[in-house]
Amino acid sequence: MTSRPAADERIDQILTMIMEMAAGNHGIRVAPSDRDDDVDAIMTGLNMLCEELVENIQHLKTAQENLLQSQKMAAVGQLIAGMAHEINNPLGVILGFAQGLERRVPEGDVLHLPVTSIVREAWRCKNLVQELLVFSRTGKKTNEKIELNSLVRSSVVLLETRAKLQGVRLVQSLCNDLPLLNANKTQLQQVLVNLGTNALDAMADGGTLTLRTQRNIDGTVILEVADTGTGVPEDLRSRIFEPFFTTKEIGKGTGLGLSLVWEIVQQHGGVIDVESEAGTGTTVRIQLPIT
Amino acid sequence: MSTPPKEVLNIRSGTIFLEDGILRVVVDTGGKLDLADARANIAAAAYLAGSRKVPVLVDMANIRTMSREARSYIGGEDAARFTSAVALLVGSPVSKVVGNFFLGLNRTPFPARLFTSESEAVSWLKGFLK
Repeated sequence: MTSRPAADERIDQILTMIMEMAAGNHGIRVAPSDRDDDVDAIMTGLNMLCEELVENIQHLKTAQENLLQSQKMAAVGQLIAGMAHEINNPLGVILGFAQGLERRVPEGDVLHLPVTSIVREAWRCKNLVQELLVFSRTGKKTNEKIELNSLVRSSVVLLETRAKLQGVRLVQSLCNDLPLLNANKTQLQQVLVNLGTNALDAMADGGTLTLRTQRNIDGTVILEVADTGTGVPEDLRSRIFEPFFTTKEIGKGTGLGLSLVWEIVQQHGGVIDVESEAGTGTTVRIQLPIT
Repeated sequence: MSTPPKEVLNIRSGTIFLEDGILRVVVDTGGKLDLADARANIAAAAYLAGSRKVPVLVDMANIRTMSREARSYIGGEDAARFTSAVALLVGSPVSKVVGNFFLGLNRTPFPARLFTSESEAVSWLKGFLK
């Protein structure tokens, strides 16, 4: 029996690869020989094209997911904006009269407890409505040149009292040569505080909360908030950015924290990504463009 | 007469040296460039270039493959800090494919061209000498 010429074997590999790719298997690669001839050049080109294809498919999938999420958020945002405005006015009246009563009803009066309860709960509603309004606001915000590291440091100050109470170690791993970001300071602070608060919620029995900044090879800036908490079960991961979705007990979370984070990151032209494992922890990674 | 290179840096995927104001990168036979190689190359090249921008001649005639990440890094901002222009010297069919991928899929922040002749590449790069 005569053995086949080596070039034929490589062409067989190329044909197999083409057929596999046509069938949807994009993980297949060919192995060029050491001859560095035209067939090897075709094989190298195919491998590189395949790498591009895989990367582009991944980008497309992410873009589709983001588009779907944007559509959902836009619809929910419109509904929320309308409702929040309707609720806000009567709520203002309730709160105003309740506060007036609170000042007139002395401690020890049988009405004192009910009136203070009305004021407290009305404030809770007011704050919730405020969060809803922030969430639904889609107008352009004022951006300025900001230094992400100093924003991280000031957010840590807001988180450290609670972290100490829960026995959570706060770690800052900040890149020294970060470029300035053109961003809305208040909104990014909110992103950091929301993510930090979520992380602390997941570490009731202590752990480590790491806030990390990095400079990406493509010139973008990375912000990571990582905890060693309870993690998010796999079946719930795709829903965590949905408005009103929460895994917390009733009354403890509005389910708007991560939706707001998502919305703000989108408004800044960034990308958000979550890695989580139940029982191990969660890392939220935000990639932000400089301009 | 050309000045002999003062310092030749050996890197994982080849050698780098400065000659007559042109930074030369020679990729060794069997060169398979991944992101770690690309980072090492750029760091060594930045060291030799110092604080100025220099034209770069990459002899990639012997390259076998280059990963997507490596391509993106070499054509990115870190390289742009010290690169005024890049000439890619290709020879073998494989190196031509790799070179064309680099030029076709990367928008480099500096002028970049493919050459099969070293003298033509050097002559083009001399136009970027300051």
